[in-house]
Amino acid sequence: MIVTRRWLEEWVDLEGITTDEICKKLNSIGLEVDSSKSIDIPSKIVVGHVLSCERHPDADKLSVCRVDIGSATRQIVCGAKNVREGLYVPVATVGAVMPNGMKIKHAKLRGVESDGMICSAGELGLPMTEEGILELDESIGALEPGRELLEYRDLCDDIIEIELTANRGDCLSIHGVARELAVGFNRTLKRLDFDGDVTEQIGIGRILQCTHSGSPKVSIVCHAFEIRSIEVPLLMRLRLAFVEQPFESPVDAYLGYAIHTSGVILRSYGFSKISRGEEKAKLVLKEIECGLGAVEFDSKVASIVGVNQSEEVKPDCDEKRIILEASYVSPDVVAPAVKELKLETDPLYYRSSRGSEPDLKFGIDILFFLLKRFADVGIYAGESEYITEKEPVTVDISMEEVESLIGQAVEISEAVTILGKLGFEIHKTEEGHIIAGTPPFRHDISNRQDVIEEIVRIIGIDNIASKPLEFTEANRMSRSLLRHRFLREIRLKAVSRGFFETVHYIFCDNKRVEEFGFEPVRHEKGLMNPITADMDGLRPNLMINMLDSLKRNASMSKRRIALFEIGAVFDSERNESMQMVLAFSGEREPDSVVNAGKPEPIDFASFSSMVSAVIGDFDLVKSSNPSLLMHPYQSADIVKEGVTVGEIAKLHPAVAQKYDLADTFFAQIDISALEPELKCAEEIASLTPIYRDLSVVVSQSTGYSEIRSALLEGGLPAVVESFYPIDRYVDDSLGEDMSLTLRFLIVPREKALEESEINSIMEDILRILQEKCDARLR
Amino acid sequence: MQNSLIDRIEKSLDLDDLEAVRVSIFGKKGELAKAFARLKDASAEEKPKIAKELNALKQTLTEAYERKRAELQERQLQERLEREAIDVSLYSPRAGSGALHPVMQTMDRIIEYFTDLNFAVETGPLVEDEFHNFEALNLPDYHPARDMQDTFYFRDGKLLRTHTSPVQIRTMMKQKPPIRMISPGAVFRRDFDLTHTPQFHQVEGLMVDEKGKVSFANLKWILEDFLHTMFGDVDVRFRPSFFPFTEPSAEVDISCIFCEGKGCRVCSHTGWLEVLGCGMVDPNVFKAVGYEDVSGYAFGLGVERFAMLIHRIPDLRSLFEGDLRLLEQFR
Repeated sequence: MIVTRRWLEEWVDLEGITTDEICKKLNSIGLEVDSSKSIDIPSKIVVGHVLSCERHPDADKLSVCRVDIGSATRQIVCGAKNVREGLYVPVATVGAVMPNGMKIKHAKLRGVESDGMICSAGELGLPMTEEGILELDESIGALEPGRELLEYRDLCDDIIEIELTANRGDCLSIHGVARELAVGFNRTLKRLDFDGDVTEQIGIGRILQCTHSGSPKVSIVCHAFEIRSIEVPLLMRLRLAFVEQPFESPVDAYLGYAIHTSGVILRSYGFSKISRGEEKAKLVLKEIECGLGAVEFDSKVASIVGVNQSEEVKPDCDEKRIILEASYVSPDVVAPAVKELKLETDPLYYRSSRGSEPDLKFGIDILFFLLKRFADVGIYAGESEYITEKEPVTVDISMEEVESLIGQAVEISEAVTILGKLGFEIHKTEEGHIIAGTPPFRHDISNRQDVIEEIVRIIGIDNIASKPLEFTEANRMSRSLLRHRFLREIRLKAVSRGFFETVHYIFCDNKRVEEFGFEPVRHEKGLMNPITADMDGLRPNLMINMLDSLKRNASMSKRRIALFEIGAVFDSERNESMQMVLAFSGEREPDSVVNAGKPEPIDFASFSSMVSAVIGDFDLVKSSNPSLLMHPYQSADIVKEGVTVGEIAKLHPAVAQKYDLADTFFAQIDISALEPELKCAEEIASLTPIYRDLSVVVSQSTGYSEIRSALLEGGLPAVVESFYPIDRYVDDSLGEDMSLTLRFLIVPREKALEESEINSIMEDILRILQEKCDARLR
Repeated sequence: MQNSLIDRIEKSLDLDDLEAVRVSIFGKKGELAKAFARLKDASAEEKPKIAKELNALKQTLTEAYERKRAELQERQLQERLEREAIDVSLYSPRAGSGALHPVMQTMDRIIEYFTDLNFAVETGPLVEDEFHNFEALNLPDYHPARDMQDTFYFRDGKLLRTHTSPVQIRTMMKQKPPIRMISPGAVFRRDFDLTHTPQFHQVEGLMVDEKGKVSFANLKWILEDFLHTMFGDVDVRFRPSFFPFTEPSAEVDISCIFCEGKGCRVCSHTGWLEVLGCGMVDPNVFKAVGYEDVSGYAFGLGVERFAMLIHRIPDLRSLFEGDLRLLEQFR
């Protein structure tokens, strides 16, 4: 919503208040000022009267004008097409500095002396209201040659753009905003000085017959007028340009101006369009679905009240007889109906959906006032109307409730004053209660809290003293909070291992999902309105989008890329779960003097140890079902306490190549399977632990996980606390076999072990391996 | 003899040399042993005197030896230390640790503030339904405010939540008042340009207690304190505004941290930066969740906006690109 200061001043006295103060007030009462700018016309630009205008002797497109600028008559060469004798125009005299910095000097144009410049609106810093030079008229004040243009306050206006919230349809007009300022500054809202006197004697019934069928929940009032001559005065052209309201015809301009002033929805019909050559036009207001009303002629829809109007019935520029319709429909009726019936809407629907001004006579009066003042029209006597009375809303406000909601007391007299100025009808005040009817133009007010909001915004939130809340102690360690803390710990561990946290969109490209063999979200549950074609799916895992970040960094010459993310992923049924991904691409450590600038590339073992530093120890089991993202022979399930919680793998070389990546490893972890655990200490043995290594020869096809489970399930002596592989060796002499060395930690419990006892333990171990894994001692 | 022996000790060049000297003096066949051996040839009256002299000599030599040994050990240690000298400046560590994402760091700080004030943290699903995301929040489907919320819909009528407020609805439907919670998380709107990404993060807060207990003054206090904690010494301004789920509603601005309120490009020359929306919970919301005789406030903020202001990040979209050139700055 755009307003101008001068336009507002027609409705509220703003004497002694700066435009900055107006903006501040608008902000503080809940009308957010988006921008404010002033039109500054420089000095030495004066009103000129074109006394004569002749073709330049040597240039077809130039005119030589004699212009009266009060103190003198000047000869000025002008290139505009619309310059002509008798016009009043802005003249930049010699010495004037234009808003664009150009200095006006005495000049010679094709041999003809020129003493100044006749200006266009644009050259003055105004919006272009017409092609060519600006034609001044008395709508902006008396035109005296020589008078400085900057003295015309309607030209040097201040323009304020307000970002209205959706509930404030009542402020979609100059009058509505002025009403707010009148309350904010405690000044009086002016009334329109127009008695609505219609001088014509011919009644509207001669040319228009209105009927209705059904009972649509709308109101319309129709008038008619005859145009004898009509032009749009500068003041209106200029203001409509200030508020960025284009118009197609003079009638359109007058209507637009009256709508913007009053907030009443006004439409015009060309008489010839709806009369079909008859003497009388016949309009029927017909109830249609959802309580809406359609205006029909000849069984054709001319308009749907508050929603749209057929192009066919709009008056042409040369139409002499105009039917005017002022209408109102409550936003509570029109908004659901438009949604339900999927109706096409025109720009005025924006007003009706947010609540237009229901006082139709006010809008009509403004329009007639303008027509009487600036045009020559004959207005038919009388009108034709169909009015749906609005149920008045009455609210009982308890001052005690006001106090408890705001947190401080408000005097009842102050509240009454504020509500009165806002247009509430105060029915009664007694015993700390105000009983008031809400203003008809405030569609957004229906309950007590709405009214308290009005009081709060006028008092000003900044005038409420802030107070800490007293509250009761309670345990608020929700599971979500504990989860947040646990994940934060994990995130910090990843950071300390050199990983950078990233955030990716949950959206992904379904084509890619399928390319890598994952199942996209089932079509019936898929996104209906993706924002771009390559964001039409929901990611099945985190790695799929991480690839782009790895690629971006690799293309930016990053030699070592370590990223992680914790976020939501979705299965084909669109079930959400939380996952963590850690991805590492390129060199294992930073290049430096330590590694002569040539660090080793990341490998399976070092990546796994990084991952375990983040999520704790785990066992790796050969992946049962590697995805197409994974190297089929370097991929594993991550098993913690017997439960598979994720996977770890080298990125498939074909994928790495496609994304221009060096060796890349990644781990995806089902983060919801990880839980913080409280550890219990075990007794620490007092005897010295013993390490023993055992080398066996087994078939190369035997995985370590098989050996491991053979030992765990085969009755390992209790004193063996743990074991792990420390060497794998293959050479020609071993053929298809390999040598594997395991290290065993033996912790004696009750007594120290003799060498012979240790040997017997190692023999037991060997026997298990011989029996279960076909191993032999190396 | 004493002087020549001391001279030999003193002239030892290193510990090996000194050891050889020690053997030659103190060893079984050393000078001292020899001298003591000659004692048995001395007369009885001379014996004690010579023995005393020899013992004194041994004492003197031992002291000289110990002194020399300490000296040589010290020198050897010094030499070793010098040999081990490195140019420490070559080893300034580079790229040691990673970093948390600036948006997530900011979210952590926000969560920390509110949990320290005894707010609970609640979370909810990203895929929501119309009831929790709109209707229970006083947003019927024709409401003009729904224009502001361009929503991602699924073919089965579900949607991606456009704010974290549905978590508040879910919590209120599950728990009895008093409620004191925040709901942090990702939200989605169908908007993609310089200043909008289809996914961003919010933290919303909700406080509900008995009727008459929670006031706008309380809301002001906590938000002012919160914004001072996050942004330091800034002015805080409340502007009345409109949200369907709160009433009275306000938008909260801080004085521009870039120009200190003088007006600059970032604040569109207004001197103020909008950072929060808030208000007293609308009675219709309480009605939707079946609460009676309660009062409460709610607020919500965009984490990306906070992160961009606090860390002076110029480009919103860069936050979702995993670009190390940005992320490494937060190490």
